[in-house]
Amino acid sequence: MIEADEITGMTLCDVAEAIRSRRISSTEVVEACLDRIEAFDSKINSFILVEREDVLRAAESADDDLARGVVRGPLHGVPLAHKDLYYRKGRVSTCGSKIMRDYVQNVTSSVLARLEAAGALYLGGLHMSEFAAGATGHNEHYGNCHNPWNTAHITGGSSSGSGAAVVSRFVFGAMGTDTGGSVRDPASACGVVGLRPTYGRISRFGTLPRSWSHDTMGPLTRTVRDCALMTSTIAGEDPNDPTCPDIPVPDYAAAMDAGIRGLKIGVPTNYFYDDVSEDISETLAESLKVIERQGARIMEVRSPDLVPHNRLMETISKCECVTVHAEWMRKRPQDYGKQVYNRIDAGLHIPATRYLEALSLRGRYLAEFMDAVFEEVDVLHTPVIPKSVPTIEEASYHGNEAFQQISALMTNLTRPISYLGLPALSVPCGFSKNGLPIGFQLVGRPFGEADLFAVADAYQNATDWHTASPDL
Amino acid sequence: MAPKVSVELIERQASELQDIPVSRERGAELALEVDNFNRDVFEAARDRDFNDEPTGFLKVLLSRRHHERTT
Repeated sequence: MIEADEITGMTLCDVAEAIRSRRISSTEVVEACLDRIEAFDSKINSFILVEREDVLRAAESADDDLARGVVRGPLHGVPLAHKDLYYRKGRVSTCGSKIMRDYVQNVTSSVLARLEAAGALYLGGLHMSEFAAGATGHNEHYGNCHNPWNTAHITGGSSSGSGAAVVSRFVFGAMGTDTGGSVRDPASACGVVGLRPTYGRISRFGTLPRSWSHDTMGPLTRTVRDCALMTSTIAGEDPNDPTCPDIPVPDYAAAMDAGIRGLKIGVPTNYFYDDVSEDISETLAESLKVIERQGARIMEVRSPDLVPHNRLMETISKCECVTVHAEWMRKRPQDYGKQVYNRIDAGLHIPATRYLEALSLRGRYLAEFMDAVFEEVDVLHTPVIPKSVPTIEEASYHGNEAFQQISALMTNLTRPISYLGLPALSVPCGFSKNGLPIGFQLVGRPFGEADLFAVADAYQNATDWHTASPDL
Repeated sequence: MAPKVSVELIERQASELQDIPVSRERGAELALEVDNFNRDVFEAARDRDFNDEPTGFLKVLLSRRHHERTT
């Protein structure tokens, strides 16, 4: 008999193997997760909806299949939960909003379809910033999400519930989405692993758009191996998303097993450390020493100035987001949270010429970045959030200027990478003076997720930050 | 240098082009915000080549993609 805490403390890879080998049943796993959510989520608010009866029935069905020798896939019987913007045909996805609270979807997202085909179970919809338009985890309609390490602090957003639920051991993995940092920020603030894949690596079909040109779908997990497993399950060509090309998905496990000897890791000499606090800078330096001991070469590298990239990304993002929302903003402005409405309405007034200029510079700037950085190194290592994770009160709406400062704090180091469409992985590497997690960001070449997993896995093999668990 | 965005422009655009009116207070905030975006992109666009276009991004993303390590 395995105790419930032992079950929920397992990694995704381990629990999947334990179910597959019938050391434990899917029903036992689901019950352990549900009990833990019941006991602790009232403090965290990571779920918008728990589908208790449905997931228990699905677990029974998974156990029946196993008893007959049928293994659906590598995630057979494993309960997952996802940011509540992944559509399911015939079901509601709230998108963290009042407006879509009762809106029944008519398609199922490609990501959820692939996870289900691999055997995963859907446990519930996770908290998110309204319409994925917020970097803090605030939500006027469903309440704020609280950081499990200290509930007075933000989780980061917009995949707030995904970060909080995974580190709380409520589920073994969760999908988020990352437009300007919405996977990497909550991953860093909550102390879990989070991937923003290359633009086009994972299908966006059947999810709420935030900014088509930047939207990516990414998993949040406790370990890099778990993240690689989820990524390999969902990545690849999708005819429903023409931005997903036919590029083979590498064997990520083999890449991790190969190690990182000789891999060149770049430490930026400009932009990324311009506003980083001392404790975070020191923690990142320690993480580089660990990576170096695993056989990688650490080198300084100078990137192009990324201030324009940051502004161009935000310009595109606001224009595309407001295009999605304009009709609702006309008809139901009162149903938007103020923080969200004020985050997107500038897009109504930016000239189309500026929007198209920002888009048309993207290829040129990506080529320049590739020449400057990835001709010199294989992976770039940077901070994710430059200062300690703020409190919910500090990050609340206190006027436009203060709000923009908080937004900048959370996204200045992630947005330029989104503009460039590059893959980036947030990895937990310690705690700041206020006791909240710190993460580092690994950035790779287009479709170079394998290198990011290899570096981060080597780091986790030599450290135990990823095993730290908040005392709920 | 990009011209300055006025509150009046935001108010007129909001009502005449977008049919989403703004308050005077929000109009003033938006004028400042939009002016910053407009100026920043205006300046960055000086880097544009005549042939730069939005699909150039996907072309670079695919052509410069990672190739697996062989060691």
